[in-house]
Amino acid sequence: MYLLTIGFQTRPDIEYSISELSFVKYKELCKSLYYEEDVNKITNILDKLLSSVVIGEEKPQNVIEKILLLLEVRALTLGSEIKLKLGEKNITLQKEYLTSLYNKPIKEIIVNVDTLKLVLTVPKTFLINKNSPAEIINTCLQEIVLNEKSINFCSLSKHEQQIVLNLLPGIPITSIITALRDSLNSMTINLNNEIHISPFNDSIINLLKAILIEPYSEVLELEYNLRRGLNMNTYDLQHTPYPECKIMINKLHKEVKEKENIPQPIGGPINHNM
Amino acid sequence: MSSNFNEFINEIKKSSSDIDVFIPSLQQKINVKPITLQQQKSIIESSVDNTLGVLFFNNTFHKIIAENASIDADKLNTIDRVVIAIALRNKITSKILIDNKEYNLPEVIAANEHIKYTIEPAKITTDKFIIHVSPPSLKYDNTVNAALLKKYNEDDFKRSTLKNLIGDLFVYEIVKFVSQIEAVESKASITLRTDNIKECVKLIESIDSNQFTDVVKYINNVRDVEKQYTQVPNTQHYIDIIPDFFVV
Repeated sequence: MYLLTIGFQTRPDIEYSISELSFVKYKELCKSLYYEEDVNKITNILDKLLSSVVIGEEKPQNVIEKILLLLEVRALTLGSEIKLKLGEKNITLQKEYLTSLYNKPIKEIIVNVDTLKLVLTVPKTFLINKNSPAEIINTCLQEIVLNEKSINFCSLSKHEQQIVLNLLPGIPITSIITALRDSLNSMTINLNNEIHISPFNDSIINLLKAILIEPYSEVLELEYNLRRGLNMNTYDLQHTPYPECKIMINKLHKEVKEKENIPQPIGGPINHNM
Repeated sequence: MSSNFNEFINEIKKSSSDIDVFIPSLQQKINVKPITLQQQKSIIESSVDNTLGVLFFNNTFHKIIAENASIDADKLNTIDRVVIAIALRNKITSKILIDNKEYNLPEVIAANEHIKYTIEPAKITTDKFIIHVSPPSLKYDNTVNAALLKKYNEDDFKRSTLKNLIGDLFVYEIVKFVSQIEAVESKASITLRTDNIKECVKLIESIDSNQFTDVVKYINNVRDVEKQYTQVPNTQHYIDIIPDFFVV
């Protein structure tokens, strides 16, 4: 499978490696997402998708990077042109446009508590519980600096993170949450001047679902055509990227159509063996 | 865990400096560790929007004092809880907003050190009993609160239960302050302040409520003194020691 290597302005010194989705993996993705309405379950599916396609050591550290990576997955699988139905209107967007809205350096919020410096940034997870200030802080905490020694909070295990949180002193939570919310609200985008998409609530989850999948019936029809028309078997479908499958079936349809348009000789086909 | 992580943990532990808090009932200072983010979270989580909310919060706060104070919570009372709360909150941020105006907690702390602590145990004599009263220790206050919370956890919170709750709050409050009851005639006496709160409640409920009139006056006096320690100097503003006090 092709490996796309890409970097973002969120962390300019980091490059991600994204693998293409095979037909089978894409079909599984469509199947799991198509009928799913629960945003928490959709979020889990998207996180699993990222775990499987983002290979190598570098993993997304926050929601913005996850969005950017999912946009790349979308482009790799279905192309850069995105057609969406917003209410009664059909709109067309380019992946590059959506990427440009999010691909920016991320602002940090610095909180000083005695000799301790806490560096907070955008949340690590989709759908944070905005009613839980402690959860907001936990998911936004990036780095802790103490007496010129610093620790990357994101790189700690969950157990280590809990140890640290248990020891940190009480902090002015409300003012931090206000600063974080202001920063997060500034990342809300407008689509077609009608729909507001925030990276931190349901709206981004629903958008990502809409742009990542095709109707499941169409995927099944494609599979039927691949198996019947091109004699592809399960092994082939597991190892051929989804876009290549589409290209091949389109080629077959083109050939069939061209053959149908070739006029037949009078008396039937020429028998070269006579 | 890496040695780098362990080193960092030790640095965090070392960096935290204890707070000196003047304890009114002891007339001396004790050390109290600052509140942690985890403890702050537990206070927020104890915020319950019903009649029992104060009890939930007081029990959570008792746990924090037990973890952070340099002396046993059994040696501290509910008045001391007020000054400790203000000192811990001051460590997070020294400003407080009341009616859209900002005040400084260090001024409250300084003023509190000069309040004359006048609360003493007392003996209240009625026609039938001699009732010994004193402010409950934080530990006993916590025990009684826990018993009341357990009782209402087990019942469904219905309208009829709410009527009972108000009565129970009154009885359990008396249970907190009464340490001993002597019968005037028979000289028989019983010590309360045990872990068997149900028995203490049963005993108090069996006595005519008119016997507790002066007990209630004593309790109100203690609560007034607690309130004194929450007053912002030179104002008529008082600080509410509730979960929101710690969410700043």
